[in-house]
Amino acid sequence: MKIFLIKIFLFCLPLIITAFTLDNLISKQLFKSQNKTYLVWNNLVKGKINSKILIYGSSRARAHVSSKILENTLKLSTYNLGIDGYCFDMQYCRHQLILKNNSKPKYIIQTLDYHTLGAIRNLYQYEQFCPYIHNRIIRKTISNYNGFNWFDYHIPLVRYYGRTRELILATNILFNKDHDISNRYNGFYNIIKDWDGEFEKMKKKRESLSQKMDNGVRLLFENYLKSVEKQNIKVIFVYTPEYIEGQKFISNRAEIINIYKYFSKKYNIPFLDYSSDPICLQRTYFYNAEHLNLLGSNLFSKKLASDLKFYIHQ
Amino acid sequence: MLFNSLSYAIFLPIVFLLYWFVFNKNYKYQNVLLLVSSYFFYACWDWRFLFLLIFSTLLDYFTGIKMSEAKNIGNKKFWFWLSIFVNLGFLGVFKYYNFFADSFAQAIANFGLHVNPWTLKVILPVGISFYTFHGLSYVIDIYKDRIKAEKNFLDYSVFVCFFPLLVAGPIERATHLLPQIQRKRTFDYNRAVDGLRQILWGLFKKVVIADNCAYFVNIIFDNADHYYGSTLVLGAIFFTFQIYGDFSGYSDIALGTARLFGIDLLKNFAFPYFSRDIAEFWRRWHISLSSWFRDYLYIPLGGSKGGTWMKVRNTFIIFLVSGFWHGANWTFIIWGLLNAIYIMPSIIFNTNRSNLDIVATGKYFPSFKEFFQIVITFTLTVFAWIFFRCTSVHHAIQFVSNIFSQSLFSIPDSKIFTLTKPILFLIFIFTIIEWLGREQSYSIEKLFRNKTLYIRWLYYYILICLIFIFAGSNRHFIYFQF
Repeated sequence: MKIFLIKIFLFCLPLIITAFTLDNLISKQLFKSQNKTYLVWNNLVKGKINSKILIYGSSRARAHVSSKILENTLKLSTYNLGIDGYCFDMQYCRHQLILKNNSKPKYIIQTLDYHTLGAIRNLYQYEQFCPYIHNRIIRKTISNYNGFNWFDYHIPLVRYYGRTRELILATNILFNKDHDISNRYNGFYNIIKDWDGEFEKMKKKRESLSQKMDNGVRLLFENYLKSVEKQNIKVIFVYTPEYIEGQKFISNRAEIINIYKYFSKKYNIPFLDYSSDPICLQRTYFYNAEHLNLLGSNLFSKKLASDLKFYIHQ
Repeated sequence: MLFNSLSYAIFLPIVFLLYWFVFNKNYKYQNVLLLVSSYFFYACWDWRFLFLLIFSTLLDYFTGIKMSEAKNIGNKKFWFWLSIFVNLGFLGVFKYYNFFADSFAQAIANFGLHVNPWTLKVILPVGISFYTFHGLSYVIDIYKDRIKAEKNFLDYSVFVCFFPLLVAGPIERATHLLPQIQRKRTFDYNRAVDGLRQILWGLFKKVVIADNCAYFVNIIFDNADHYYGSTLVLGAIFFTFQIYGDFSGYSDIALGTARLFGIDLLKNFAFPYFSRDIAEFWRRWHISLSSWFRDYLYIPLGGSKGGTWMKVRNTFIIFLVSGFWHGANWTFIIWGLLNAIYIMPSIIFNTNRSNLDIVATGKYFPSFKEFFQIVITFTLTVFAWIFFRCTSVHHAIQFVSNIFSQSLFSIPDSKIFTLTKPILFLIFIFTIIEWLGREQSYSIEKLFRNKTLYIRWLYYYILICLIFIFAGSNRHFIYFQF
């Protein structure tokens, strides 16, 4: 029995040492990644975002507001921090990283959706957080979600188990090969894509959707508005275009927009609502009910940049 | 707690160390530890079903004793049928009630009558089919005077609930497992190392082969109408490897784990995809279930003693019941029926026991005839698995009709084909290792056995690396749902 245990120990020892070394090595390589999954997080953590205008929001912000068009029109550096699949709490996490590691912006374009003040339980695209699991701000936010467990936080390499894509990416970066360099421009990313028909499928399944508001997220949102006001950062609310049929699908949409109007009034925040913009009527500008395609986002960004001139001064 | 989870990687060493270091003074203490660990293991899924498991154990334990104490045959029969009725009753309620209620409503609807069946929202208790069959074999063996009733409740409970076999077998026999539980176990270095090796190979099969296949199987089967016939064939082949990697991987981990505790479980798989005919396939696939049906259904029905007609009838019954055992869905019944049809020529012409040896023993390659037979048997098996995997008969018919279209001869969809190249390569390597190890109880049992320790360890490290890098996202075992 003693021999068995000694051999087991000797067999496991190189594995344990390798686990610590590899964990460190993989995370370090991913910190250097220019891949679209990691680029924005890396810039946030490394303090590389020092723009005057920041765009906050979900995937709709990421896909709708072109940083380049805003920069060219407003002559101020712009960075898009829109993050796919999350409500306001993750946007707030990015806001905290901005304040901690980067210079304070002058303006925040806070894009709004019907789910901004909602809550989700599961981490979406959870591999994006793997390298930053020990970052205090990020960890505090992601620990509220299902996704990582005790083993991921405390045992090296566990969170990279079966993450073939991440392991290949880290290896490519290590050997200085050309890896998947993102075509994001200051966070903005969109593609040329036709209407995908997902909305019709969803409509077949259910007649409408009522979005639940989360009281905790709503409170967080209000506290954030108070704090940016104190920090002298000017916030502008923008409700970016949604396809008209999609707007009808959300049964409590009017109620949600009223909440944003209430905040706008209470904190004296301009609210640019594009819900009735002619873009919303034309399906050719969208690839689904919530997201504009590249054609739509270029058109919308020009319109937004032009409207923002009234509020943003160099 | 899944075998391929970190929770199990912590649970197993703890139980192992307690078993050999703290409770090693007496085998009865070790049995107490095994029972408590097994209950804990089971409760990790759903603690409420622990009561069902304990009740099932108590039922068979007491009816077993009552049968052995019965003074007349009537009394014995009473306890026997009570146990059979209650055991099958539980299985019927939890596994088959909704199926019968829905099927009845659909049958009535054919006559223009509409009824809303009163269906139950029941969760299927994990392993119920396995531990029920465990208990049934014990009760039937006592009734047939093959064994004596076990008086020691602890020993009997460990026989039913031993955690490596609790949720998906192998379906053990009292004659095989109980004597091992009732005697002192001594630690054997070679057996323990062999157990660990088998666990490692089981993990590779499950995590690398089955779980990666599962990803593509789900995509292809869920969107069958979008893909070429050739892609659907690829999907069916992937499922064939998925279910083998999944279930034989599970069995390897179970057998390896049991060996760490000095207990040998029944072998469940013997390289079934190298079978030369369907009869051989069924002697090599899920052996513990096939032999259960043979001993407790086929032989009591008359087996092969009553001539060809009786053999045909009994074979059909066995395969239909086997299909139904897997799940309450017509797809499983069709799967069973297909296998019965496949095996029929060998039953009628009495050639079902012509391939009892291992194919190409002592050779690197099979003969052309053997190769041809293996390919034919494999193709038939792949076709039957389509029905096993599809969610409904309609789905299966659609899948099969899409296969047998002109697109069968097209190149598989390029996106799927490109994505599946790494897994196709892994399947190829896996098949070679399985072929080379087909004369052993599991394929890597003697691989590199004659090499130095460093070479063997290097080989194990490579396996661990492959598991780490290629672990698939699907983590659940298919057979847990049965």
